[in-house]
Amino acid sequence: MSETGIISQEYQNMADLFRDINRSVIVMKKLHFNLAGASQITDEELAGARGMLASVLRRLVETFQPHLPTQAADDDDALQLPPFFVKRLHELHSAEIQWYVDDLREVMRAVEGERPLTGDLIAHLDELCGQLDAETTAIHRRLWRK
Amino acid sequence: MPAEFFSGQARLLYARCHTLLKRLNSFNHLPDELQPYAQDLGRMVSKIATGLQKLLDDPDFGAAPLLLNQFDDYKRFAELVDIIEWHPLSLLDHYNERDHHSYRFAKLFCEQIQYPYDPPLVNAHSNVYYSSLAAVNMVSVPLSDDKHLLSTPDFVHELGHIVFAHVWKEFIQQFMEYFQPYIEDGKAKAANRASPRVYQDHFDMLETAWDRYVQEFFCDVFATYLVGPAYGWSHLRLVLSTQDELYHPTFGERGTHPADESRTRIILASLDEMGADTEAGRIREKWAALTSIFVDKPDGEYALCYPDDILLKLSRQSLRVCRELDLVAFFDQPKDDNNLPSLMQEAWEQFHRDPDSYPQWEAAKTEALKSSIGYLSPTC
Repeated sequence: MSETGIISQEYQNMADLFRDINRSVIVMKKLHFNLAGASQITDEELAGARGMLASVLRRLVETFQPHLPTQAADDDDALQLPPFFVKRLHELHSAEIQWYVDDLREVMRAVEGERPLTGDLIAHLDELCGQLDAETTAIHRRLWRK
Repeated sequence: MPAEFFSGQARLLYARCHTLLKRLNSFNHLPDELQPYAQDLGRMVSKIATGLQKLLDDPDFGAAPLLLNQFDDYKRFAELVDIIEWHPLSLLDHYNERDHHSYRFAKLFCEQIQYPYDPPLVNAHSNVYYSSLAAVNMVSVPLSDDKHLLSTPDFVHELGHIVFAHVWKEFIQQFMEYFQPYIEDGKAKAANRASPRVYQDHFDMLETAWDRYVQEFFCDVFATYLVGPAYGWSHLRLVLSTQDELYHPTFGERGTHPADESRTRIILASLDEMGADTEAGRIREKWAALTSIFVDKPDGEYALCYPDDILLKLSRQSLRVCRELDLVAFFDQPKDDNNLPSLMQEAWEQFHRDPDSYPQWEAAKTEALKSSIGYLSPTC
């Protein structure tokens, strides 16, 4: 059978996750850079963005440090990170994975409001979007370039 | 400058959405029963247009710190428009009698198995054998599909991809509960091997690959549950015509589909699980005879990729999902002429009984089926 079935499902999962993460990052950046639209962000939107990003970051930390105790299973059950995305990040940071995990923890604290968000931490969020976007685009191309 | 270019592109995509909506609204040639599909597509395109409008209306549209995020957001809209325009919309634009026959076939099949979702649209002029696009609920089948029966179980496999899109989250989560320990164990054992890093990397690759394989295996079990041995025979037929993927991907290789041999094993395991062990035995025998003459043989590490134990657990998990969805198993289908799961089984039985006269039998059956599908669905 054609590979379209598998790839289209993979594309959809990846695109859905990308949208959720990217829009959450946009919310955080609007606030951080104090852009014109920042005042229109509702408390609910902000809480949703914080929750989404914290879940993703927690999953990444757990994946890159599997020996550490994990969060209770029912916390963010619905969130599943595509393995190709995780692999991309791991390859990118394999030389300094412990530092990267520490950075992700700091980003997590920042998105949860426990510490201020800085330009460096935002760069990590942008990198998540960038890697996920690259993977999503690549899969979409495979749907039509055989 | 990049912001202006981007703004122009976003506006063009917005205009393209409206062109497509206009086209959709002009589809007067479609049978009534397809109108809901056209309406669904219209809603999807409208939603994209609304999303684009929201993006363009954002007071921070084009702001330097957000430009890349916004551009990537736009790209997702553009990709979705591509998928809708190139697949279901093109099909509906050129919709013909053969497409409609295949749709009716799919619809009747879905009714008979108690399929819990809307039947898919069917494109009857596929250029990639059987395929599916779950995002737009569409299956593509080969041009001659309405004249033949032995490959129709492959349509059922494609339907499995659409079901998987509904159940994947929970399914993958449960699967990982028994697959993850296998990978961890493999990596731990690899530490004692001659080239531990290579083995560990290969186990990492295997873990990633199974994220795709699991869906394909699910679809194999799904089809086996619904049409029984007919799917096993259909798989054998397909393997005969390709052969090159028999034991590939093996350990350290990548691929979208698991090796054909492993797929045969999960199909046979599923038949055994459902009590169809006599038929499973016949397929097993034929498989052994065929593969004994093929040149391709498994390498020493092939078994690491597709362990029996994992395949059996995956088969049981997939069968459980089929039962939970209240789908009708092949052995519970009535044996009448209009029952498609039974007809797929009967076709293979007839082929085995008398391969030489099979083409005449098949021609008579597909002709009768054509009339009965029209008769059973008088709105055609």
